Amino acid sequence: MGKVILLVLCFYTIVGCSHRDISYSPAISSYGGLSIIINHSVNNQLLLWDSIKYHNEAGNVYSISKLQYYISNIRLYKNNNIVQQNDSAYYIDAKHQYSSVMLIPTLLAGVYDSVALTIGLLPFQNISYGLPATIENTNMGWPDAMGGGYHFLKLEGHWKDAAVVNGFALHVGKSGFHCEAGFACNLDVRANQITNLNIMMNINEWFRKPAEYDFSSDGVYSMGNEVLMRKIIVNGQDVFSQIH
Amino acid sequence: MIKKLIVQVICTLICFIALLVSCKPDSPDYPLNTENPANPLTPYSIYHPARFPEMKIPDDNKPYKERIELGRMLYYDPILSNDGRACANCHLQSYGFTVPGMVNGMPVLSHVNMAWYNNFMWNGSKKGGLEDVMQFETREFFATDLNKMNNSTTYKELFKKCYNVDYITHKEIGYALAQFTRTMISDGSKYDRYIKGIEDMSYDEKKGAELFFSEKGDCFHCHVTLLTTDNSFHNNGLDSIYTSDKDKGLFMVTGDAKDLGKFRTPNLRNVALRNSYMHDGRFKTLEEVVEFYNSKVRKSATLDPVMTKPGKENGLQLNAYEQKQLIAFLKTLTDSAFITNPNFSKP
Repeated sequence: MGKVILLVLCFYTIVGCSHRDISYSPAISSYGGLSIIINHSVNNQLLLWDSIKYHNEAGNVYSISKLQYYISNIRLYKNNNIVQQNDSAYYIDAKHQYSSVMLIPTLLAGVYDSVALTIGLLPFQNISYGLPATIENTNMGWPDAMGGGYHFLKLEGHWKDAAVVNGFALHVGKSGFHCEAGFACNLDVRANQITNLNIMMNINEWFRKPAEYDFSSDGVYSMGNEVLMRKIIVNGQDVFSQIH
Repeated sequence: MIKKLIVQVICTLICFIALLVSCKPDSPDYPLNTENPANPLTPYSIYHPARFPEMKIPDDNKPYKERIELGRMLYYDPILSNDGRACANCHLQSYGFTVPGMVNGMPVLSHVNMAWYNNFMWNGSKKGGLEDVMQFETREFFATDLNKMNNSTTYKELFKKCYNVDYITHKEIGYALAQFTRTMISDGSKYDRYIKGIEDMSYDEKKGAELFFSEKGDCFHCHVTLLTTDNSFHNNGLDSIYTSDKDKGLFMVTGDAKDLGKFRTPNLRNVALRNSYMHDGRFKTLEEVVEFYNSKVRKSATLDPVMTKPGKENGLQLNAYEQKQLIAFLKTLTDSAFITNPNFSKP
């Protein structure tokens, strides 16, 4: 009897102590990893920082000086069915390639035909100091006095208002103001290896449709302005596409 | 039979406990220094305030009590320089480790919470961690005479014990200074105590905090949360033309026109103890600083985008009472415990 108890306890103790790192075992052949690499462009031209040369749909000439955001709740689809869902939140700073890569270490190998993701954070994640206490997350904090949580998006730059150069700061945050985006893809995740998925954010899409954004009439500052934040996140739904 | 069963149960429990103990996660502590087993050092756990970002400490300079004490000794010792100055000459504890007035035409940035910095100096001329900037201080700023250091029996013994070196170089000096300065953490201001629920703030102080952390005052984008700095560079609208090199800021490091007029966001802890503000000390009081942000911001092509609110192009347009409330809040950032902490004072 005692030997049985000993064996059971030993077994559960050993199992309970196993590492819980999210890494796929090479022995499990049906799993692979996915690395989503984000590039940032304006109408297929790779983004050049602080260059006032880009034209949006409204005709504003603008530059980009900062682009930081979160991606979370990544879902992979096949035939309109969710096959994989990843709850992790990824901080993206477009200025740094190393922070423009999202690694999903374990997912089912196979073919996927579309991806959906959240730009920003879902309410359950958008809690002040809820994300790991990195400098980057700290700098993305959304003041408690304004609802708390994190900035979902910081899109800043300058634009030409007639001959004068002015700034714009489109900040989005506050629970419920996340943006649901998605894109079709041709993705084949191979077992036991990391597959790369190269995608592009076209910054002009933030200003294009369905709600054309004009700096001169809509304004240049969105933080605390729910109408402008809503307009921005509606436009964000198709900012991403796969690079073939 | 019962006796046998009891023995088996006891053995089982012993095995179970032994396995559980063996499965404990790795201890956060690190071992005594292995470089110099003859002189073991005492591992030191640096205090980490709640809600502060994670602290990154290089593996090759883990904190040890003896190294921190050595760094503190160096911080106050004019042996580092060739003209009688020590770090502490320009970084007075009673002023939050800066100095009233200016040195070489610039206010001295305070030594506080530097463990979380990765950019240093007003114009960002030094990047990296504390080990990097402290090596710069001894190698270039002070040009520490290594002969003097190595002729000091006391320092020879201390560096041998702390870093197991027979010859002291700028590297070990910088590393020791980094050890001490990493411990210089301020989280005991009235505002900290308010956040922790230990002490209340006055009505005006709370309203000032609301201004600071809302779009109306909009200080928080650069002076982020409890660190009160985002470690980054901004043009806050002090100038619209840049004729003098000292006003060009980050441009002097990068040579990039988009960096004209951008300066490192200073830490606001103990800001009320200072009497010169901005990179050139052009303002002498907090009232002047707030008045500048309120109505005297100047446009330029590199003005930070967050400072271009519609209808507020020249500043925040707070009324006189709101300005006073904002200043009342800034004064709650004074950390009396930090400026009197004996662990940071001259040994």
